[in-house]
Amino acid sequence: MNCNIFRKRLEDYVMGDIPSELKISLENHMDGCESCRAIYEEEIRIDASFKMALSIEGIEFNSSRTSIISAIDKNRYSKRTSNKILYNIKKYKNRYLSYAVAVIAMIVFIPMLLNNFNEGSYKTEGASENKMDIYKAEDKASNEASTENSTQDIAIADEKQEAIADKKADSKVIMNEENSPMEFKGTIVESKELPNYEIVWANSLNGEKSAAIDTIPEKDVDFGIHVIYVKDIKTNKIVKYEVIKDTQSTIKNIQWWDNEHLIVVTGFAYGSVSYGSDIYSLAVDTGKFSALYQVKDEKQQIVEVQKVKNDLILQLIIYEDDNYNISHKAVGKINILDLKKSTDMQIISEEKK
Amino acid sequence: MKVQEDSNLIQSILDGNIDSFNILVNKYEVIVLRFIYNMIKDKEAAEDITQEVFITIYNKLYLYDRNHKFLNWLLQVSKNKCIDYIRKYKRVYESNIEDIPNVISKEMSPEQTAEFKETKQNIEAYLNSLCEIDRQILIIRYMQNLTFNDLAEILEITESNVKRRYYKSRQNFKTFISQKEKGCKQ
Repeated sequence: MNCNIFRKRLEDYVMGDIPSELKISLENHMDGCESCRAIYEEEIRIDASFKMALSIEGIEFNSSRTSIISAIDKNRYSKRTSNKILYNIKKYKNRYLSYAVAVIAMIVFIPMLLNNFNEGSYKTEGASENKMDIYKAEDKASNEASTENSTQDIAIADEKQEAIADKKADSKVIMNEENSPMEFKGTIVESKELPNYEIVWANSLNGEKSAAIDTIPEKDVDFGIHVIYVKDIKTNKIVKYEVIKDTQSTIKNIQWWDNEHLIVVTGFAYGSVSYGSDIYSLAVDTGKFSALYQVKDEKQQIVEVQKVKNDLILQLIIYEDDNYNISHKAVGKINILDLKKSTDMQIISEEKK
Repeated sequence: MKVQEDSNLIQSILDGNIDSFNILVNKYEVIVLRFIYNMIKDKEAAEDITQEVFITIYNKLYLYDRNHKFLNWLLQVSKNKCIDYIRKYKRVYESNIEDIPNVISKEMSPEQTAEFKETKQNIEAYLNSLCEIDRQILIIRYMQNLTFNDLAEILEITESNVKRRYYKSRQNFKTFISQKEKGCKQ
């Protein structure tokens, strides 16, 4: 053992906090090393003087035992169980309190968590349903596309998918709102601004006005937002009506109601599944649009509307399956007076397979 | 064995046996008195505080944790009572050597008595220069042969902290004494 190790362990030695083997080797070192022994003696001297200075052996204290015993409440503790329980509760009151808090928290939070969980799962279900519908619709669209030998690319298919999803959302909004979200704008246009292809004009009953949609009649699949042109045959003034709000919807079909009003069928602009879902009237003089009817069932699509006396006769396509693959034609009827009552139309004839 | 005895006594007190408390007071009263006296250096106050400590101990006995030594708990309560007293009276620690005439042995020569007085004054001056915890560590350490672990329990600090403070205080004491001696020589 060298002096460095000795000096490091000296404090432990003085404290008596040292294994006996080390103690012996420290003592052996001290016997041979004068300087280390001096250091040790110095430590011992300090210890002794502290002990001496703090020693109060000579002081005689008066025992206060009697007064302590007389001061205490002798009935404080007893062998009774109630007494034991009382002090047990007092001793562990914090623990019991934390248990109680934990239990209360569980009672309060578990139903909340469960509710959240249920809502969460409901949402997921809803989302997956929507997705299913989208896939179905997409399947349907692609089936049709293949039968029609149309050259639709993937981009269009994607667009359809999004559009169909949006439509679902939109249709919900429409159902919830009394007022139609669609707004129209009329602008006067020059005849040269008309489409370069031929459009089919339909004259009003008295032959003073003529109206047309800018669709290409030969094409079966018809995408896009369409506008109505209303032409005054005498002055040749053409007014263009277009949808300015809800740009997912378009004008599908028009028929003359009387000399001043057009019945306008609108529907979802994209995809071959959709024909029309809403009926508006357009006052051609004032350009005022007002909602007349909206189909409640998404599987019923309005192809055309005609006014026959006091009834609107609707030419319908009714889809039979969720995939929108099988459909049949039908005719619906609704009384003009019933339009504002939001009653459903009557199916007056159905073409069953 | 000692711990076992204390534990039995405490159980007996909690069962309503006052005699057991009497035994407990008898056993620890002197230790508490000396501890408190060393902390506040006032005989009368030490007696009062000791009485207070034992009454508190009795009233709070149901809170005693059997995993620890009873003496440690007792000294912890005593220490806290002393701190309360010191805070209350803002007492300055004065060494009053005349308080303890019996300390000086009759066999001591006048030179030895003078040296004893000087050492005692030095140590007390040093102790008073220390912070509260360091002072308590030294007092408890030299008064009772307690381990660092016991000190840690009583003072409610970690054992390594006790050790570090203890060795540092001793080291500083050596410096303090050597400076005093130098001062005397000059």
